[in-house]
Amino acid sequence: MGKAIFPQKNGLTALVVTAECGLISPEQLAVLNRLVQKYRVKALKMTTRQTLILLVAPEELAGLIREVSAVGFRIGTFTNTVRNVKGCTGNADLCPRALGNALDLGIEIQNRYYGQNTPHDFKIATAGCFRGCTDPLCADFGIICTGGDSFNVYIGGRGGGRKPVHGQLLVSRVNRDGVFAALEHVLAQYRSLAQEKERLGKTIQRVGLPPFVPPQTQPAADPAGVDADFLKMLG
Amino acid sequence: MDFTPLNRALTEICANCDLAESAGCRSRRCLTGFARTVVDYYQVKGALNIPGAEGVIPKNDLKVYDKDLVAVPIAETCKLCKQCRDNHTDDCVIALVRSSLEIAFWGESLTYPGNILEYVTLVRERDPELAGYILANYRK
Repeated sequence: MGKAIFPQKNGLTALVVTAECGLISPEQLAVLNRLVQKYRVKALKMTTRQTLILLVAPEELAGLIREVSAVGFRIGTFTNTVRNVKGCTGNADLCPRALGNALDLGIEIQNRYYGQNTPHDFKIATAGCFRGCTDPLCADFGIICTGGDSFNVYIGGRGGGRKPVHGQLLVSRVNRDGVFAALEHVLAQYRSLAQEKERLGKTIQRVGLPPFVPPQTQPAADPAGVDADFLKMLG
Repeated sequence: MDFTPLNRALTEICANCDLAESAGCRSRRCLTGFARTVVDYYQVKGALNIPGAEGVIPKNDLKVYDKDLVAVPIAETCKLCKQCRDNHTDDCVIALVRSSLEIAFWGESLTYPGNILEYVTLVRERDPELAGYILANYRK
């Protein structure tokens, strides 16, 4: 697993730190505020993948890594690993448009799989509705909540590069356990079938989608996932 | 978005219904009642999406609806759709109202093509008179 620490053209070092789906607590932010002053961080850059880049002098790096890690941030990874999960604010408390608990699912996935070895970059995104603010169709493994404990999973997406490609629907309307089962299966098949440094989308192009379809999927308990408050109003 | 004109238009359909305010008036079984509940939900919760609601539209409502009355709320949904900057979903409150009113005529809903002109063209293929009413109300 490569650590996301990159020398910059101006001599500074870019240290990528991640939080749980980009969620930073006030306490973490307060500590970060102290640390960026202590270690004379020149600037911070928010990234498209919900990570934070700290630009710091190389000699300050070791101390900064030690202290940001102590407050719950994790150092970014790159190349052949499962990357940090991109998650929208879709859960029971936040985004009013969310159809279910996508943020908490994303955090759990990140905590379980972050940094695991894969043939190439493996990016995961979760979204609480079809608007897909986190671009789940551009992820190697994209999850879209379809209502309550019901999710669609798309695989093989790639947002960047010369030929961006949308992911393909792998399973629809599976519950939370079904998402984890699909992820386990996709990772196992990807490790088994991919050529060296082959991104998942390319592997799917080469071998097709069927090997990635999990043998058993757990359908959502209520496929329609009708909003309970609405049913109550309907009488 | 202002749902008042839509609500008013739906209320007008009920005002012309024989079952209105009778024991037989049931939102769960009535396409207009369903549409009004959808609007109520938006006004109470402020959420533009009702997860799963598309699956509970009362498709067995076989009442006869007047084209000129129903064209008014359909036109209002087209106006709201134009104002909305969000992406379309089948469970969006505007789509739910429009779908339920389409089912009142055809027993099935149309796929909204994204703008009023294409939509009216689509309706015209099935019912030129209704398309005319919708367009006239949309222009008001």
